[in-house]
Amino acid sequence: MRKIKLFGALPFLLTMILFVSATLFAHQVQAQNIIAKPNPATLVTDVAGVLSAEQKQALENKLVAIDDSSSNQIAVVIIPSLDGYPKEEYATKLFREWGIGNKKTNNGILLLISIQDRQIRIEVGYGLEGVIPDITALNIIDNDIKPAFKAGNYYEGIDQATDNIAKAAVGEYKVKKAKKSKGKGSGGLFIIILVIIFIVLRGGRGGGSNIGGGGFSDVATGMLLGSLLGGGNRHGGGGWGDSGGGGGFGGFGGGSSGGGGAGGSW
Amino acid sequence: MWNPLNLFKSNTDNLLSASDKQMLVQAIQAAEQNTSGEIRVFVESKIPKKQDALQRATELFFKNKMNETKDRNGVLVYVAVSDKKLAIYGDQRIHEKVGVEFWYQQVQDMTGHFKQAHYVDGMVRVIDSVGHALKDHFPYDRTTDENELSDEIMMGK
Repeated sequence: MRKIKLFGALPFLLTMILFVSATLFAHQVQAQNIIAKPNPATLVTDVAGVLSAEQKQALENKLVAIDDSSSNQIAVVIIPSLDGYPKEEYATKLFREWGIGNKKTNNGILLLISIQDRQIRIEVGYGLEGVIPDITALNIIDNDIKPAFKAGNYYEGIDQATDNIAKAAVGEYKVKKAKKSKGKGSGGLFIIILVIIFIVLRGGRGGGSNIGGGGFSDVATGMLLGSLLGGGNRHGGGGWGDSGGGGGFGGFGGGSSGGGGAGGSW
Repeated sequence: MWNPLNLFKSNTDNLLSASDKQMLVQAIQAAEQNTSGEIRVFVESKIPKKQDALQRATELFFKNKMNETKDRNGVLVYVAVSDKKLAIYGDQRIHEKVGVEFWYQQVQDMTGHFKQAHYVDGMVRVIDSVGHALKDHFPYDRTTDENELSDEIMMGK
């Protein structure tokens, strides 16, 4: 009896799958508005406004230092919502349009966080695909981001995650616990991982109160990566970064609107 | 003589003597003499976990509202003595003018002195050099300038 019932449900399921695919496809066609690249460009972009100016600045400084020392460019983008996009497509599109990473080496990494949708995605340029495989990205999300976000600590989660992404990018990150890894898509857009995180509503940190505000104007933008994060707003287009510019502090052009500095030891 | 009670004292008590501080304050006042720019010094023993010197300096910069100067030209010199780490952070407008190479140069100068244990000397030299840069880009205007930030040395834990 059971078998028969299942069998009967199959066509229905198939239809549903088709329908869902069609809906997703429709979204791909309709939704055109990923957020624009901030001008001047920064490595940390918090449109959702979950980070304080200090936190944003500290992250920015760290990512700039990483970019400087390893030329691996990690961009953190926090948006209020995916605006109807499938997260993987949003991430890919943003990655390409902003031109994250170096055009030649494709060593960009995007950590995309959508607050209202509670979705996280790590998009890795194919130059780093070998050193940051699925399992590593998943591990980082599970160990660094999930627990912190659940507790409402966005900064801590992002801070730890970017630390470990940077380590992974130079081959120094050890995967802590075996997790099943998702097979790579054959599409070739190097989608490393996609994880939906259900942030447990807890304490005062439930969605809404932290969302909104933000915007670029009120944020201390820190050291800027104008020339590193590509040029024009290209739609479609192939290739990964439309930016040149190697790493290094030489990349911070004029017109910077944030402070800057340097550190060292003796 | 070793005193076990010292274990419970704040580490920073021994980092700078009163006369050291005095010298630094004088250096800051001299440096700010001909500019609207503002310099502050923060000294502590260790950088809090999970931060590097520049991150810490940036944090302290904002915490102490050094970003609220009229001309956005505050500069913070940060030193973590036990960690042997230091950093310098300048606000937007001065950073635009001098660029990151300048900050690196200052860090180099300071570490050069610090390696020989010439701490106060190193800091005074850097304060002086930052003062010159500030003077070049933000000349003193007698009619409007005021000392926007305290010149006192800030001591952490």
